[in-house]
Amino acid sequence: MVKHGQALAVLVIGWAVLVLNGCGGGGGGGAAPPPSAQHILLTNGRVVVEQVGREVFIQAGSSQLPGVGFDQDEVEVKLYRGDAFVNPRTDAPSQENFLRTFRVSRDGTLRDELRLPEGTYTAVAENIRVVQEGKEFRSALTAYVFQVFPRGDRLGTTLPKKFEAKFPAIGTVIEDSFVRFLTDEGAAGGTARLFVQHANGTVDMTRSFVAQTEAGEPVAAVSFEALPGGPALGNVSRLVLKAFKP
Amino acid sequence: MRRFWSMLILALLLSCSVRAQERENVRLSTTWRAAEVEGRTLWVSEQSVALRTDARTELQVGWQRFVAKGKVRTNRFSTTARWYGVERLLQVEGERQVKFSWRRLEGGEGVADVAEGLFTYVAPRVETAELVVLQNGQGATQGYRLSYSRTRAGTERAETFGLALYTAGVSVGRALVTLEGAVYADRHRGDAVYRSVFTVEAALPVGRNLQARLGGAFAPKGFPSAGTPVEGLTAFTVYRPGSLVESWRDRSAGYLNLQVVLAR
Repeated sequence: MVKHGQALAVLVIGWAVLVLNGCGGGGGGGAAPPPSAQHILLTNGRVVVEQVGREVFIQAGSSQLPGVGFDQDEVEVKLYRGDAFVNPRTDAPSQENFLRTFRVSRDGTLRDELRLPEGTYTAVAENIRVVQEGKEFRSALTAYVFQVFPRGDRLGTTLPKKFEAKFPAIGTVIEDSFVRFLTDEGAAGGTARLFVQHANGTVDMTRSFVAQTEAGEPVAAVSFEALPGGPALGNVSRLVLKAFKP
Repeated sequence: MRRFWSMLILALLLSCSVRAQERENVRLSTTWRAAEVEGRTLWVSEQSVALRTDARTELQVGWQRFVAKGKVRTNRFSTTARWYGVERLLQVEGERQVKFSWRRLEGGEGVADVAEGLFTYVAPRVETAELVVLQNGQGATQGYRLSYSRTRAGTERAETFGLALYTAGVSVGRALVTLEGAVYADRHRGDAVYRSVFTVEAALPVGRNLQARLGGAFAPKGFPSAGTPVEGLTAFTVYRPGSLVESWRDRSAGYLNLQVVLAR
């Protein structure tokens, strides 16, 4: 009897203390607002491509992939043949399809030149960490799946001619975020897919490239906009962006 | 490792059910809940089994499925959950009873399939401890319940404290009516929000060993993240996942439920 009385008393006191402690936070207006202005903004992404013979030539130094600022001096990016993430949730690149490694510097500038014939490619960077004004973004695996394709007598690509993104730092609610990029006009009508797997869930969005004109040049554009509301971004285990022509 | 524990719990329940069946202490129930908030609908189905292993102890296990649909009917949020619990009668003193119960809900991944894409949310876990004090009076039972729920979902943590007062035994025709009023304090990210929930239920015998329970719940400021029968859905609100689920926390909400209970 005494024991039960004590248990009841402890529960009542604990309940009252914890409820009263909570009073300082406000008593009924809704949940705590998420931290604001905790996004990382990228505006300078671009890949400059030329055509040399039947290959696309990406010159070292002129391209930024994909316009991010890393905290590492040098990020190694592995290039694979084909789409290594047909199922972006579970697939992993196969060593059989490994082509080469290229380097990206701290400011996201390509250090090694690339020559790519027609085909589908997957570029994979592991354990990247982006820091911007104290805000941090980490991803265990980041991949970009793209195509080099014939378009008339020249080669087009689905690499980003211009890339911008606003994404949440770790711990920030995903809302008010976006990823936008422009690519070769030949991709218009094709699809782009963004897949993010993080500690609180996944985001899987598919969009179509639409034709538009940018500074007098015809391009294909795509935009991924986050929904209102959370969840907060946890540590990212996978970020896969895919861009395909029609 | 999880599979091992699931198998162990299942084996325990099966062995207990054999004992319970010998003593005719098995209760099976199936429940449907339905609601609408500002054009958004919610459907819940639940199956549960309760086994009384001795005069004081009852083991419970249940499965739930939730489907919330948006104003645009192709937008939906769905999830499943299973829960198990134990209820123990601690004390009987005259007309007074004290019970303790513990319950763990293991949610499934929440899937929001909306026009913008497919969004998933890591499965929440909710653990709830309750202390119930009952006093049998003249034809009616009155009592109160104190509860504490801990919600863990991905990187989010929340706590819910509840105090409920209820009275059972008001007879309306053949039906036995139970009324309950509860207040919950939801703590998430250091903030506390108070929400009240009112429920009414009428239990009606419909055959030998069969009972139908009709009822409803109303939450003027939305449901707390845990501590109610719809916690398998509301636990996702710690993610702030958008209107499909948040309506049930931020708006006046309620549901109707029909439960069919087979006890032998």
